[in-house]
Amino acid sequence: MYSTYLQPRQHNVKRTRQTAEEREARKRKEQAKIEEFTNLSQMVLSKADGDWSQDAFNLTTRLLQVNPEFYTIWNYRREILINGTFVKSSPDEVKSVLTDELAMTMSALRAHPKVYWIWNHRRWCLESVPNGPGQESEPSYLGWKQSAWDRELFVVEKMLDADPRNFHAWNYRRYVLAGMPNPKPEAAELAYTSRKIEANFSNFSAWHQRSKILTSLWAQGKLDEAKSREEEFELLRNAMYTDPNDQSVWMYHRWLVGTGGGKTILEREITAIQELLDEQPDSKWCMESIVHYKRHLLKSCADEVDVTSLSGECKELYKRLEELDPARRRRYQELVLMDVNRGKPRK
Amino acid sequence: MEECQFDAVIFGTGLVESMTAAALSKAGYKVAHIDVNPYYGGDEASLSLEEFVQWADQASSSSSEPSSPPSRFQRVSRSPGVPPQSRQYSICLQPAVIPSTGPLIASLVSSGCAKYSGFRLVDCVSMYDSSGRVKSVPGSKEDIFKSKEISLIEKRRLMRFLTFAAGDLDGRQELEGKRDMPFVEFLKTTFTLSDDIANVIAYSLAYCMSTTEPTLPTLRRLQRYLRSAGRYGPSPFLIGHYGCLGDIAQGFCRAAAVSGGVYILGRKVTNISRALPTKTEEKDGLPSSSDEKEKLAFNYDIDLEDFPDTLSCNLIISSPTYIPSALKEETLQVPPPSRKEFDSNVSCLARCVAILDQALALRTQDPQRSAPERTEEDEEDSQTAETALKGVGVDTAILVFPPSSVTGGSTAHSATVLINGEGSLSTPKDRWLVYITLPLSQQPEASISAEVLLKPYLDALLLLSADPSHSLINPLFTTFYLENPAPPSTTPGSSLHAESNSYLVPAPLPLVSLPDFPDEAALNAESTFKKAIKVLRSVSNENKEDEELDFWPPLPSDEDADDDNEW
Repeated sequence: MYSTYLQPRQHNVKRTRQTAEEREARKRKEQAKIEEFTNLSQMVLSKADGDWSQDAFNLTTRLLQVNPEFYTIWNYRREILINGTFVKSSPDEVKSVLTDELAMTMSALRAHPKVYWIWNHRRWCLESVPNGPGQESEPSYLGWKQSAWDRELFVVEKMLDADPRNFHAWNYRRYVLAGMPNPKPEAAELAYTSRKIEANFSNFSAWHQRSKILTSLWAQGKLDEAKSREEEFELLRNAMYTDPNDQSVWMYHRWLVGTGGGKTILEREITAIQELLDEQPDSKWCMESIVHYKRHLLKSCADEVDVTSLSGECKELYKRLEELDPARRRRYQELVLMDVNRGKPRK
Repeated sequence: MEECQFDAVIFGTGLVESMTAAALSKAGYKVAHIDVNPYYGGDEASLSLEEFVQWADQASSSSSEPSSPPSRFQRVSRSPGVPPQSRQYSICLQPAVIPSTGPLIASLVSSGCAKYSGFRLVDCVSMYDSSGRVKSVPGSKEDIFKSKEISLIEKRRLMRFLTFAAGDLDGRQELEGKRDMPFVEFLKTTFTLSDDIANVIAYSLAYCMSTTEPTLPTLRRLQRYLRSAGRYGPSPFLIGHYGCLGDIAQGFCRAAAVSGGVYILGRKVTNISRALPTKTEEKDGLPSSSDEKEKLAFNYDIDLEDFPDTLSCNLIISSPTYIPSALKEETLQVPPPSRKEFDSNVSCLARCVAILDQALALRTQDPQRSAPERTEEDEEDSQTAETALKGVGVDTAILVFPPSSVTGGSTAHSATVLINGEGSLSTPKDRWLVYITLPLSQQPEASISAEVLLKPYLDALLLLSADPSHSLINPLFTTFYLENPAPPSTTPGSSLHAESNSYLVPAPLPLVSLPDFPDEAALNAESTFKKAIKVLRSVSNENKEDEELDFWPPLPSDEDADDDNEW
């Protein structure tokens, strides 16, 4: 649905027409809130030593609503659940309570998407979901777990839709995919990374995820490695030409080159990047990458290449880099020296 | 009677007049807003199908005599049948799209009128090429990255150009001596872009109307569109529900009414006359005698047909069509806003409005990027997905016909087509409204109808059905007509009465491309409003000559919400 309802804003700046009295009133209100919070924390902490009642549980809810980063209270809350609630509950009731916990922390996450303790609590809830509803060897034995973990994947996808570059969310995604009772096929995950990259290829996490999946699929023989690698190079070339400044593209390229293919691939890629450099002579990444790969050739295929001319080309590129990126000129000079001294015995 | 005394009376509820009415009402002035039509919106109105048919029939009968300034709408012809469900159509007399950043959006937000309407992003923009194919127009970095149609080098050059166009244009070396060069030539020479890409940029990204549009003004327009992308979604453009501009004009009228404005629709104006003798000797604008203050003196008396009372006011705002000849000398045309971004080459538009019962396929579906990524379920559809590039039907979209893309079409001008499906809430289910607009550099000869000029475009469209079993679409309804620009005031205000002019005529709007009318109207409304304030202040002797009044006053503030703790 693309319909939009435009919200009015006051010239983009909130006009504070507060008088001194209003400011005083606001300060008093804040003081009251601070007092309330302090009292509540003290009350809860005093109970933490053995009070597993429902009252105590409700107090932790109130406290965590105000401050979800108060991780002691999350711990206490879990202890109440384990020692107070679960000991008296059937598996069905346990699952119910945990579903409620997940729902409650979902709202908390929306308000505080990067608080580690909320994510941790969710992990604990997921891992605590009991087996059921069916008996062992029945297909529904993992039913509750499957639906909880499926839902979790959905949550993580929503977070990544909102912020595709949130690496906490990508990490959590890997945790969820690994923990699912019936794991999803990796090919689907590859398609997911494709979607994210097509939406915006300036996304290191998405490329990173892709590299992990491809490694796994290649190792299992589920994908033809050579063909797949070629397709990745094709994808990369489109990204490079569209935006030569995007760092994540070049990093993925380095990884891809490193996965194999030898001298042929190295030389071919160097040529492709050189064409881009000819078209866009101020591209620092092109120069850096060409130099990087030429040095790689020198190191790994020294007997198959013209060492002198390659070294000369590297030196030329470093000179251009110094001009383009004077802030790092010392680094380029150092690299030239390293190349010059390579193979010479250390003094 | 006091109820009939107003600060300002505005004739015509077109977009400019409606925005001005709302601004004046919100600024505290008493406004009466009158329209001879029984509907809001004037020449930008959103009409039901039956209202549109009536409008067309009226326009075709009245334009049968030749008149010396050509009337606004001419050579109107329509298909005889009228499909049912008339009320579910909102046909706009001025089809337009709204850039996501710009004066109209800013006014909609600042005035609070945005909440009276709903909006939808344009789904896609496509371009027709002379081989009969329709291709999606890459509007963003992501589109360019994904495209299979553009070579690697072209991708680089296109990106380089777009980055240039979106950045600061002042003092750029690339523009030295080339500001007036035709834009297409500039693209091909300075940015070494191919003919294809240059056409895509000029006609479907910058919405040039003709082949000769100069570089700098076009770049400025293009920049505004580029900077609108991403605000509400990938497309830079919004379409309002219920016919866009008509509904928006109505929203501003509503705002005016909420602030005390009085609305009278469907009444002809029978008399507008000066109520006071014109002051010929005064130069400084200040009435000297205190006697003036005792009796409430107004400048104008206005009578309406079938309306018992005479309205009095100090300021009239209207288009030239309402001005009685006796008052022509004293009207003042508000100077147009200074943006010179439009091609003066265009002197009229040929328009078509059609109703179709099938979706058009304007978007080519990308085949799966690489085979191994498909999951087991997709394996079954692999044949259908891979074999043909299936077109996908669109709901709200723009299709551009660049010059020389259609046999029988124009070689000098670009035609644009705006398609509205049910998502725009201007058609019933399974119906699409299609607006075709072709700019013309001169009035066509009397023997050439609007239909003849537009038929090649309509015919090309009718072959683009998204349903492969219906290769040729049969339109349910068509109307063709010519639109001429709104006439300027015949006597731009004489210098003698420059300060005391209390009859203002908003600057006429030039003929512009699809995304430009709304912002031009908003700028016009703002300058009309500011001029009106000057006049009203001088009448009431307010000593606020120097105080700038904002177009829209600040909205009432929200209570500071204290729900940080609520999850």
